[in-house]
Amino acid sequence: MNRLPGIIVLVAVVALVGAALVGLAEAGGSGGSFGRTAYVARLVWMGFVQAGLSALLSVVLGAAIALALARRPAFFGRGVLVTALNVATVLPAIVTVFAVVAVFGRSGWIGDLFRALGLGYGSWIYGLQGILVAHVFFNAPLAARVFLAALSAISPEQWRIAAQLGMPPGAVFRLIDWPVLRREAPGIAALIFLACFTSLAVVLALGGGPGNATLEVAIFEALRFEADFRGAAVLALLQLGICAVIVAPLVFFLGRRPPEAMSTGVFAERPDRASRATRWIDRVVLSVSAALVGAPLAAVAVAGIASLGALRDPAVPRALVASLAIGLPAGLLSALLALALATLGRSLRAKAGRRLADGIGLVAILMLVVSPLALSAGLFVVLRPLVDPFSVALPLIVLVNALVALPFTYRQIEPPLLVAGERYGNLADSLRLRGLARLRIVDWPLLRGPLIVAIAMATALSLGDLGVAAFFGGSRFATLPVLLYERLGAYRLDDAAAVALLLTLLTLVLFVIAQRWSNGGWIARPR
Amino acid sequence: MLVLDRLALTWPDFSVLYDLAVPRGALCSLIGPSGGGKTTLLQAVAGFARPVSGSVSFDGVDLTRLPPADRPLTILFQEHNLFPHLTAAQNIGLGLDPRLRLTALQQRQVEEALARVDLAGLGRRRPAELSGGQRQRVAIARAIVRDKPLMLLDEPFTGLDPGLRQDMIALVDTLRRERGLTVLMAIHTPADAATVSELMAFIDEGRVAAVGPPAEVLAMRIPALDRYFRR
Amino acid sequence: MTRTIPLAALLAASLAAPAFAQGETLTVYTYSSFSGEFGPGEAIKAAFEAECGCTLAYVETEDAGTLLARLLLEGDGTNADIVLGLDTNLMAGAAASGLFAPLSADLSALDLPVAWTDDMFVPFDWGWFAFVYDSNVLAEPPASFAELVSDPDGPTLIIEDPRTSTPGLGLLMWVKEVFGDGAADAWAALAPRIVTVTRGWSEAYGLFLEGEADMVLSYTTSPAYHVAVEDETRYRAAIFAEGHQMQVEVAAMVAGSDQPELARQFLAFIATDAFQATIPEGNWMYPVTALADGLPPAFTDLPVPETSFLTDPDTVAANRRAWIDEWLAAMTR
Repeated sequence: MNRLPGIIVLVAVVALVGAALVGLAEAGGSGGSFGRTAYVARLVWMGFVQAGLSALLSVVLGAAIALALARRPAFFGRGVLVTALNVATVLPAIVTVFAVVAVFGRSGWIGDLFRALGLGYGSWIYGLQGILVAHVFFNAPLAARVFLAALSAISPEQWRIAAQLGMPPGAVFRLIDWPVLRREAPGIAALIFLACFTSLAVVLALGGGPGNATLEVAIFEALRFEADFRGAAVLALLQLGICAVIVAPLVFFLGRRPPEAMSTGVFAERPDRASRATRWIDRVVLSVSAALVGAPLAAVAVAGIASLGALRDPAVPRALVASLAIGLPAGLLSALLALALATLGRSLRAKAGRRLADGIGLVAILMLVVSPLALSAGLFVVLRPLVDPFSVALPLIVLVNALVALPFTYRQIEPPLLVAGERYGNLADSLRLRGLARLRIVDWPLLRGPLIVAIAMATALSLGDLGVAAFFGGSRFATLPVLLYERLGAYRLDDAAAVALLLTLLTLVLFVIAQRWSNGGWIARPR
Repeated sequence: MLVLDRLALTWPDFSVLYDLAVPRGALCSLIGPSGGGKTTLLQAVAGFARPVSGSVSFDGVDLTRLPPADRPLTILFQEHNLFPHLTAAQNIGLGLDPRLRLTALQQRQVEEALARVDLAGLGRRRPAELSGGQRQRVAIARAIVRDKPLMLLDEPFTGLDPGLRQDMIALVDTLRRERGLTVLMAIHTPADAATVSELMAFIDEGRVAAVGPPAEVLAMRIPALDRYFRR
Repeated sequence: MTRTIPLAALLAASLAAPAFAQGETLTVYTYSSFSGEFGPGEAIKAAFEAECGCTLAYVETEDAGTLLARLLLEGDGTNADIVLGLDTNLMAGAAASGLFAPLSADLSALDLPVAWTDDMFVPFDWGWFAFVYDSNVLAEPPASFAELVSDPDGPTLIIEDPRTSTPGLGLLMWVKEVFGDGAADAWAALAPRIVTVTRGWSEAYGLFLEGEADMVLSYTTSPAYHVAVEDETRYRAAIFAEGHQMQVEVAAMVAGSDQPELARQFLAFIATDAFQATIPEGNWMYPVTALADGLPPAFTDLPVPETSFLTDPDTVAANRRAWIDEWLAAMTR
């Protein structure tokens, strides 16, 4: 009973993706897009380099942010910073490109500052460095959220012992924080690597030239210019295979040991707070991250506020409704799929061994590299003989968005389920608590916070989706991102900026509600 | 002499006020209902909770404002006394150097401490590979190497079976006699502690409601004690 | 969860509204900015419905590339009667699919800089690619493509990627038309001044307006938008002596259409004033016929290239891959 929903979801997800890619491959085309080995190899290599660097930098900065936030559980503006970090993780790529350029570009804020000081300033943002800035902007906060949750789970007794032993800050980091960070790093690094490996709009817009591109460019080209569906499917499979090979060792060999520490929920002060060194490090880290994340978000606000009048257009509320009608069910569905998979994974971990359980995690995380465009097109082909795809457009858009967000929801939901299993697994078994009853009685208290954050994140990601809604829905589902692109395409940059601000505010509201309801993830709260 | 002089701590929904004196080298057991303030007393002595007024001193030295690491004491909790990712030997070694950079001499001290608590040869195990009683003995071994004159025990033997619990209390008693330690031990099986304690304090509703030799305290006829013993 | 139900109901209601049909329905597949709020689609729909006594329904895709992909994925079973919005670069692939019907439309009213002879696709608007600049920043733009290429200290550029966008592909063809075998060297010379290569026109033009480069690959008609809507005259298109590449957008009838009469009627309607008058300030392109009332004022002042290039669709299809590889090699040289 415990495993059935998970098995159904696992089989359905794998079958759906498989059928979509096979269907796409059967839809015709020369397959020539795949034949250009040297070109494809170069795209793979470039993706590997930028995604690897993006993941490395994001994990290092994310760890620094998490440590600083863990050491400083209460300071003025902490709540605002945490919300800003959350919003950054789900900002649509196109909005991020313009926001990053508005700050770092030739005519951006920093450029203005340099010129005001009588200094020269060039467009340094275009190139690998620009890609890294944008990717770190998205992903360092994501890593920080995962790390902080793990650091917050360190038991208060450990901090008291450390305080009593007089552990200096360096030893606190080496002996207490580092083992936790090292345990979490491979998983989050894999997630970030995959997200960056398939990044398209950011890599092209900030890449500075065709030297910086990803395999997704070739898939895009095969689908839309060459109508080479077979080539697109093979490239999508290749991308899946390469990513599986790269990520599998991270998941299987460096994978997270199940969390050992069990928090009693009692707050204990970390002994490394008072040191002068950590005070300065935290000040620098928090200022830098606030600037890195805050300045582009402020740029979104500044650009949008100038043309708020554009939001009076009746198309805007319609798009808002369409976005929510897609985003909320997709967020919920994604969380439910993740919950089913994670429950199956936990049950396998206990009985059938770790490898099998890690395999489920791998399936979830690999959804990130199934090109949404290829998935949509493939589903379209597969469904067409059965039903008019456009008559079921809304459920389809919701489903694809839920699948695309699955890696993030799974990452959020799996750890608390494992902890609940460690803590109460035997008790639950002895009481024959199973299925929904176990979920409600045993898992829910630990699951609630992360689950709500996961729903918020998946909803926000789906709100920002362009491709899937546009593919199936056209203007019938003119979501906010579709509206944004339509305005950009019609020269109406100011109107687009207002829509971008609305989209950002909507994300912000989602996270504020989620943070309030969940009390968790981010907030180390004194009792 | 350990002295708690009108030591007061307050929270929005709870406040405590302690007066207690324990002679040097004595073992004082703390009994009383859960939530009555035994743990809070130990936390305050250890420096994990900040008093609003009053003082705590040991051998004439005022400890009230000292950070936890500077107080001449070691505390053992009910659980989680060990870092789960470090070995038993490393956990003990932390008592000698919180940076865990041990000299050969210190490593020998760790081995001796392990032997002293009957865990010779188990130094390479992690806490998860030890039984509950073995884990607490590792924590006691760390207290041995730290060599502080004051030892606080916050129900560390709860959950061990009765024979083992007696053995552990006997071990603590032996150590304090060997080393002249002053011990404060919260416990919720008063009978176990009665034979080794010079003093027993009954803590209820945030106050030291009764204190004296165990036999006297156990025989007192005050309502709170009667309720505690269901008599 | 209960909250989504009223939202979904509201959504369904907003979708259901246009479904009331009168008589037959003509289904037109097009890209969303054509049928969208600022595009010419709504006015065209109203005008055609008044003429035919039928209903015109748009089915939108994100852009021209998805339009073709979707049609090919649907194949013979497509619901489309008309596909509107492909351009000459996509024509060869579309023609080869066999999904479109040949027709004998009267093309005599067409008024294009080049002769139009195709018997399947009807042009509905066109424009010249051009580099647009801000005259407050760049006082003296290059007078020719050769000048743009040869001056190492010349203006910086933002262009679109030919692998992902039609303007990008148009530029590739343009450089080939102007420089022939010297195209690779021209790209290599331009490369240091190309600030970035974006996925599509929107990102490129947006970055240009943010001040990220001196020039952006767009259309000679782009400045007309700024004049007509914003009353802003600083943006200009640089006219190159060698000539300019054209983009021609086309429509065609689907062979399997179950409304062949309406579809033919619509293709004929394209060349009428009722359709063409919506193009200049709806799609910011040139109409394919001379308008009775002439072009809007913002268009009449636009500079006009003397020479026009339009690469033959079959040539594009045959060489696209090789030229993109040449471009990639030159840009990363």
